[in-house]
Amino acid sequence: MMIRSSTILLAATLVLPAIGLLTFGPRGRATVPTDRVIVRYWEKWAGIEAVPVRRIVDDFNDTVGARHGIWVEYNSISDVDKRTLLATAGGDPPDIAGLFDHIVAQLADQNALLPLDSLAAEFDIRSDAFKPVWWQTGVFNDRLYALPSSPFTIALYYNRRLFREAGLDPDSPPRTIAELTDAIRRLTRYDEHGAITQAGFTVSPSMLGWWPWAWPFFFDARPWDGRRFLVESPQIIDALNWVRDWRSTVGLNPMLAFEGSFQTIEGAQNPFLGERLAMVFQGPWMTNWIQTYAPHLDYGVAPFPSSDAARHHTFASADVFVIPRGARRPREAMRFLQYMMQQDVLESLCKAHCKVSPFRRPQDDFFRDHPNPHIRTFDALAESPDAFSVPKSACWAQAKDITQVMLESVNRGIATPQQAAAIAQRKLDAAVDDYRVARARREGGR
Amino acid sequence: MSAHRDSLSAGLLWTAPWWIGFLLFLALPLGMSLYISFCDYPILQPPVWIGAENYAALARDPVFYQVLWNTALFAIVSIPICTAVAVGLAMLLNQQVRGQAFFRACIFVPNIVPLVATGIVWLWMLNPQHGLINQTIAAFGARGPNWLDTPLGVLASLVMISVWSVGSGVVVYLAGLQEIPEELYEAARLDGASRPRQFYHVTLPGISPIILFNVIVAIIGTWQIFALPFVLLKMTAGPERSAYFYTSYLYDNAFRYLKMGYASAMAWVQLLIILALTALVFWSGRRAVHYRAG
Amino acid sequence: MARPSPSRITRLATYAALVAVAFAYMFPLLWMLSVSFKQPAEIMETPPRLLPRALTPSLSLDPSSFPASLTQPETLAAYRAVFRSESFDFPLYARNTLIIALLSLIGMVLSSAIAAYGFARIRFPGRNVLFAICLATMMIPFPVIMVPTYILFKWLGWIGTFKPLWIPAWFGSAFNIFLLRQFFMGVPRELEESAAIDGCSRWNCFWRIMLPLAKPALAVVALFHCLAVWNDLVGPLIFLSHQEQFTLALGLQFLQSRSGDTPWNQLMAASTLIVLPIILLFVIAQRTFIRGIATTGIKG
Repeated sequence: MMIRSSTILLAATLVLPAIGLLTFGPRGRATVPTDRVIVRYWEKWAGIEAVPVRRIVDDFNDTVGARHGIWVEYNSISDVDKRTLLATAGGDPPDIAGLFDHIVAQLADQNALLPLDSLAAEFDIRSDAFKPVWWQTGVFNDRLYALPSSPFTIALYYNRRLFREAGLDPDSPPRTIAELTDAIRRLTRYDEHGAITQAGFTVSPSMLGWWPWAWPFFFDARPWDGRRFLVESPQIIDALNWVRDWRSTVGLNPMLAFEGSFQTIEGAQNPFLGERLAMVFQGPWMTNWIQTYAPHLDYGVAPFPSSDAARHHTFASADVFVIPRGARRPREAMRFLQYMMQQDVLESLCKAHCKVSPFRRPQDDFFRDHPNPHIRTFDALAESPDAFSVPKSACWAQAKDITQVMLESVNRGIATPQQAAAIAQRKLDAAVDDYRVARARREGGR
Repeated sequence: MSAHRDSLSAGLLWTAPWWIGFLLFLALPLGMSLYISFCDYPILQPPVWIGAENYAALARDPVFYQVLWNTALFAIVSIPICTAVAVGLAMLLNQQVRGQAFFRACIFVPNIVPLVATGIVWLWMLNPQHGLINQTIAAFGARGPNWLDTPLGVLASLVMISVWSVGSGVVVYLAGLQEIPEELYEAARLDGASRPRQFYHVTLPGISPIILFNVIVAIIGTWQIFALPFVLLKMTAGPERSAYFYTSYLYDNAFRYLKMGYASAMAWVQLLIILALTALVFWSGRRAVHYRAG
Repeated sequence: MARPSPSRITRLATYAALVAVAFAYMFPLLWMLSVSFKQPAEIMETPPRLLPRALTPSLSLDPSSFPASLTQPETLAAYRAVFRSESFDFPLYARNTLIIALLSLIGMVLSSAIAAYGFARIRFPGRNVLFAICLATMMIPFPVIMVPTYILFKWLGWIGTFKPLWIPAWFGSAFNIFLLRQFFMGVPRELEESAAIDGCSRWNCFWRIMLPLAKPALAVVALFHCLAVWNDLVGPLIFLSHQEQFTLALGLQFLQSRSGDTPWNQLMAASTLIVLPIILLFVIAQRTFIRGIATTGIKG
């Protein structure tokens, strides 16, 4: 039978490689020396991004680690925040975890992180070596819980060619919100059916990427006062009004249609790369995407416009290192972090990740060798007194979702700015109150 | 048939592989989660008993009702459509033609494409200007919608993707079709039954138990939908959060808001809903489903 | 076959419908394949091209250009990059996935069969209740038990090993037990009864008579299980903690790095590599597969 023999042939193409793989295939290399104390280090980075970290870990293990009998075991962990959470809850956390600054407050408030103040002092890791905004990413309630790894600020990327076409000067990008509004209007192009073919800017949550809530800061709003979220302030209403106004000027429905055609800003899908969007709000790694997907793009980078041209608002955020509570080797972990916090070591990592340096004064070669030619702009922004970070609230995750819904309902014209803000305010208060009640009950029960 | 009865111990011995695993890996965690649903449990600190407060809070939570509605709507729309498409495809693939195996494989393939790829590919397919779907519509002189821009469009897109991945259901229906004895069709033909009548009187009763089975599997599946909307729409969950589903909210509560007690309460409510729906489907299917004697 | 042969037109219509449907269902896969051969800059083109540039000249009249384009360095660049990438050790991940699949496969098939036989043939008091519970376990949403399960496995010392991914399989799964029970119910009792009269023990009945009869159904269980292991993401994500232990599905998820730096052509190349063996498996086994399900006759 013909079918039989072809089936056998096909089966053989499956089974033989499988057997080959099982017998001769590669095995996980676990070459941990037995005479060393093992420090387990979990990190979010994989692939190309993990290469520089692995190199640092190897160097440490060969030098300082060898002297002190420490072996750092690097592990790329997918969903590292969730895994660290589970492992810490399960009583078996790693000794070091590379997390995100936005969950430090939440974890610290749950007593899940080891305070690092005395350890940092003992290992001579000093706050004055770092720019204040970066050191502060690890501070919650006046205690240090995390050390900065690779930080970033957000700036305006704009397409110089599209600027020229629209009669705008590519060498003077918008500095104020008013100028931004004007630029958005002039950079928006339509086809014969009235559909937007090229947009100036977008505030769609999927397009603003990870920071749709960050918006009102550029209007000088401070939505978190340390106790309460305040979204009904005049500045936030201003910000929401602005969103509503320019969207109705360019046409709300065409704008929604345009935004609906791009669902993500990560990598190839970003419409800025396809020259369909003239301005975006992005971090320094955008240059990597441009080099990969649109190497001939003529673009510029500038501080993102603020309500006042003299002020430079920017979102500043950092990946961080923490030592979870329950870690078995906190001192050895700190020894490694001390090594990591050396300026040349950490800056090699930041450079490789196309981010800024957390240090007060980056070394000369940092700017010289950096893959992003505009890195000085990002670095200067970090010194701005108007640089802001994620609000340090233990309820931040929930608050972020609530503010995102607020922005989205204004974006889509479902609610007026006042209505949207009022609804969000009620939900935010409820979330914070619920959290307080639970916390008080917990402490009362002790 | 003999009225012989076996002892409990014999039964327990034979089914031991299942119930030992059940007690260890399911009942134990499930019991823990029931307890947790009556607790304030931020995962990182031990649970504190708060009675039925989580359930009461759930009853007051507008987001809970929103995700409940979103999920129910998706289930109501997608299950009948997917069932109809799957039966139709199964009948088509049951035809004796050259390349049958190839065609069957084509339908099954979407089930095994990794989610990462599914998301990226479908984003392209659904692109309003250049996506294949709207280009096909444009070929007929009409203008396709902005799929991911309106709640209705998102629902339609998700249903479309579900229809695209009915392959495993089709395989099961195919098996069912092959079980229907050819004599039944012959008898129907002798009676002068047209094709639609043959379908209605022979095919449909023949596969009705499988439809019941598949509908139940689909109910379980749609109530647990989670990864697909995330891959397609990321954190935004679609316009007006129309693709924010029950399990997504449960996940957010558990791992982003650290409200494991609340999430567990949600999970138990979900379990009860699924059980109730399954019972309802069984009950209403009692008449409609035809079991062949023997 | 007594069925009258369909007319030429019906036959043609059937074919047309089959081709259309097959194309619609295969299209995303073809796209995946196409992107895997593209250059990163080419991915951005609007409107996108279905045929990657590197393969396009092959459709021209000169057939000699086809093999040439395949050997050009950039055509297979994505595949080469995937194989060289430190983050996606394809052979290692494939080996891990195979190990987990094989370790769990025997247990899954055997335990499911034994328990299914118990539910089908042993008439013990409380059987129906126990079986209802078994069915109900299919409905448990995983997030409910995720944290308790993690704590349990941690307590057993299984976190960071393959054990959580294969040991539970040795206790069967509700779905498979259900499938096999339906099969055993369909086997005439007389077969066993006559064997029992000949002095055959229950176990021997099961082992010598029922199990060989159930081969097609067992094949279905095995295939479903392989598919499930191949595609499982949550399990490996939560329970594994070393990159050397990654499975293919987890490795792929990880390749799509957080900052979107992995070019899409590489993601698609990796996806293609992962899908390929499963497609082969299905093509080989689809007849047995469908016949196997048919014999189980899923009915309530």
